[in-house]
Amino acid sequence: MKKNENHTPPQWAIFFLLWFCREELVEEIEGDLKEFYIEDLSQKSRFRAKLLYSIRVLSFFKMSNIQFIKSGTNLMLWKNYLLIANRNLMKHKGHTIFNLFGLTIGLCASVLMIMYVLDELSYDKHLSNYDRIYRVAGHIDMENNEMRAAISPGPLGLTMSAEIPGIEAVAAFTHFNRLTINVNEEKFTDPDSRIVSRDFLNVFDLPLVAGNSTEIFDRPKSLLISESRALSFFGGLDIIGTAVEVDGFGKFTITGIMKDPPENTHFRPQLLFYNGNDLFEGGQWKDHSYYTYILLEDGTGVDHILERLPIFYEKHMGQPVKENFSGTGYLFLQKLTNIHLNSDLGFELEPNGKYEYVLAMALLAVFIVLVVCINYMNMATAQATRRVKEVGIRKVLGSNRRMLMVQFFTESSLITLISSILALLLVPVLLPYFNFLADKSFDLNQLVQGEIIFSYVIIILITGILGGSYPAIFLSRFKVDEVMKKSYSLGGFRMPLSKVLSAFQFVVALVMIMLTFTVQRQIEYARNKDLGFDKENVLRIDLKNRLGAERTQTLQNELLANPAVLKVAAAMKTPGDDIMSDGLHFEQPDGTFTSQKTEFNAVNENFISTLNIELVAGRDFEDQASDKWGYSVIANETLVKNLGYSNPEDALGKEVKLPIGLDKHSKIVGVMKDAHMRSLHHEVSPHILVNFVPIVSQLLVKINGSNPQETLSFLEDKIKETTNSTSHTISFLDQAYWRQYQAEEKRGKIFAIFSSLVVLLAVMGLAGLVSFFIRFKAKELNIRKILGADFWNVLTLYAHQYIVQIVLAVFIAVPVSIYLIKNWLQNFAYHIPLPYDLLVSSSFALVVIIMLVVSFQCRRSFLVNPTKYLKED
Amino acid sequence: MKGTYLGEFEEIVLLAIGILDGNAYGVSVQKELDDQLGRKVTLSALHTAMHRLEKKGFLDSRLGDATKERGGKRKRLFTVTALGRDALGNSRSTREKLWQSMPALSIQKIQS
Repeated sequence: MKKNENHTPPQWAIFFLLWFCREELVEEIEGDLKEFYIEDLSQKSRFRAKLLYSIRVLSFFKMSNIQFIKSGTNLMLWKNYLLIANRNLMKHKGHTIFNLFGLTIGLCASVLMIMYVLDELSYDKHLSNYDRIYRVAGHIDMENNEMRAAISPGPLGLTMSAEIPGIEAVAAFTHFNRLTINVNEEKFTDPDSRIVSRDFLNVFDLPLVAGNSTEIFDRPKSLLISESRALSFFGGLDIIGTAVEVDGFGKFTITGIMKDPPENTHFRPQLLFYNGNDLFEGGQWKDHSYYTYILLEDGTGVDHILERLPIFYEKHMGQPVKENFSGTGYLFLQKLTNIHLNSDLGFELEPNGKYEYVLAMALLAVFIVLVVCINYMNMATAQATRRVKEVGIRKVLGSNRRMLMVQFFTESSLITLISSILALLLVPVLLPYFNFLADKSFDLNQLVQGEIIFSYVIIILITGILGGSYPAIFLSRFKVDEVMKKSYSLGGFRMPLSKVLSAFQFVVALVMIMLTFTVQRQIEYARNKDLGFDKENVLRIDLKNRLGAERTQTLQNELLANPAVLKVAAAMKTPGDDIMSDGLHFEQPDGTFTSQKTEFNAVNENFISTLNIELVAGRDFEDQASDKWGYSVIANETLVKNLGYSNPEDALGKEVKLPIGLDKHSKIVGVMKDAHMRSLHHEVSPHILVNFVPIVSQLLVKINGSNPQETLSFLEDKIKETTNSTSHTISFLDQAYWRQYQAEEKRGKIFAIFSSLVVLLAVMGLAGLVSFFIRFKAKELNIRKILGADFWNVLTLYAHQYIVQIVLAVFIAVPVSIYLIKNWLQNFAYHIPLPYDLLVSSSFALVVIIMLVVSFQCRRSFLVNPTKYLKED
Repeated sequence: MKGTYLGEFEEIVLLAIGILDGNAYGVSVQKELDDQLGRKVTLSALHTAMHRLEKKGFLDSRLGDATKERGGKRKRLFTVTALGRDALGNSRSTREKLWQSMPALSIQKIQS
């Protein structure tokens, strides 16, 4: 076998060369390449020879060698298109800038929206088993209401995995999340601490910076801490093995450091404590203070587990639920990735997003792009009619229809391309504002994701194509002789699609205006509504640690020593907090007990007076010590009514069974007027205040407001003194309460900004169209004028077509708005009535604006000397 | 005189073809340039240059023999035309002229 004879150069390279290369050159090139190949083979390795051959082939892939590019003709034509496109754009600088502006804003907005949408959809996907993880949640039906909550009993998870096949691992952790650790004489209470079960990391395999995942929760009293907390508490990461004292739990050892959880997850713990598995192995079934997540075995379907749940529930939870809540219930499973957007249970870990908002944002982006595209289309078409002569000449000279379309597409592509670059430049500028409004923290790295780039390119393509298509199709249909005739401009000017498109723009703009104003009005309403308690000049102090009754009393007295401090109260929750509710037992008029889902708050005797809540029956709390027979309870009107007491007075003295002080008899001593302890999203629910201080961690301080700064620093100092820590926070109650609406307000702002943009663009688009139309009709207009028409005649004549558009737009926009508004207002238990007046006034406003634009253009043409136009022939 | 300006690369390619005296084709010219000047040129750049020179009229070409090493493909042999020789001569004399006009001192500096 002759060695070199059988070696041929790489097949693909040969084929490639034969494919692209010109006939007349291919033979000599191939020959030369082969010669080199043979030589290379003898001197170097076969691999190298082949490599060199391939590289040489690729280097021949040049314009001058490629066979199907008719160099010269085609290239020239493209160049011509670009040149003309550029010239046209430059000639009508105003319009070009307008289009650029619109397109840039539109594209920029869509990029931001895409990022937002993609982020919202990506929650919790960073865990490697995310598609097999489910949360176990509970539903309880009671007499008057129902409860759906994300929390469950401690032993639930492990019992499930023991009795129901198909569960690979179980992770459970506490709802309670304030553990205080001591580092170097300083106390830190991080609100993202949880006590977890042993197999936690088998379900949530959080990425670790230090430590071994199988060993971290091996022994009780282990602590897994996040990177950022490690740095801020300890100043460094070399802390494995360090012992840390945890208030109330003893010494823990740091066994691992985890990476900080990313933003896009519904559960972001920073410190995880393992205190032995007893809470989750033994434990009570009555105590729903935990979260339970299960990891399904590979191949197990979720239905498999769901089937077994009813029996399981009956066996373990039926009895406790009946006792505790006088009701029945069931368990259900939530897929991990569904939690962020679709779950709205009680006691969620963090406020979740909502699917509807994501949808709304996406639609918003789509609409903006559409509006901008429509503007471009209309403008380009209108402009193009001026160039009918150019089109005609091109046709005469031999452009076929296809080439004409290409020209228009080139123009729109050029402008789209420029806009897209500008938009990308604009994004970093606007990103901080967008982050603020959207409550996110995007950075530019996230821009470079595959999906975003892909979607952006698609949007650009669609915009370019849409923008170019209308004028292209519209114009290239003209017959040459028609176009060249001078009388053309006297005839009809029909752009039927434009009218529809403009009307569509108006509908969108109108709906957005109406929605924006409604949102603003609702927010105003929420701000000003009487909440049933005073929030002015009340400070809310979050101590983060429980002080105990004695120390609370001492602190209270010390604060009152300052004359600017009028009243001090202590409470477990302040208005605006997420209040806990439970099924509690109350005595009914007939003497029997029933269970009611009730919100409860533990407070001291000053609570009612500090907040100035009105009492409709009975009395305020006295000093707790005087309640020897049990705990005093103040109920609200709703609760009392639900229990069947038509007169609040009748409820006084009735018994309440509380989970604390089970051996005592707690009684209702007073009835308070319903107050909005939570935001107006929620109905006022049955609510009780219990005079029980040991578990309070918040103070409410009413000050006289004369020198707030001074008073504030006084409070700061006193508290630091007493609690020996700086982890407390002080804020004004009205601001703190208002934070419940923060998300809404921000969304409202985004909406308002985009609405104004859309309106602006739509009106400008119309202005452009009208100006073209009027100028097109200039000759006709002037002839009429000469024949004796006055301004109003002319105006009515030309304006009536726009009136039709607007009326149509209003007819569509109003029902759509009503539907959307109703839908949104339902989020609030207390809301404004349907703002019909806003609907009317915004429609009217739009009509007026449009009429003004039309009249303005008309007037301009009208006032010009007629001879100027008539000369043009 | 206008069309006879030569680029630097074109000039050395022409010279190499001149040197090879009738035996100039892609492979041989590339080797010649490598041998003489240590300069490695890509085959495709060379090809393009040679065809361009032919279009300008400085080279003539004909298809030559096919050999086994070339897988049976013929080679294209280039020769320098009279016009090409003119262009080379022109280039050479232009440089000579400029060199001679340089003051003696500068030449010393350049040469040292």
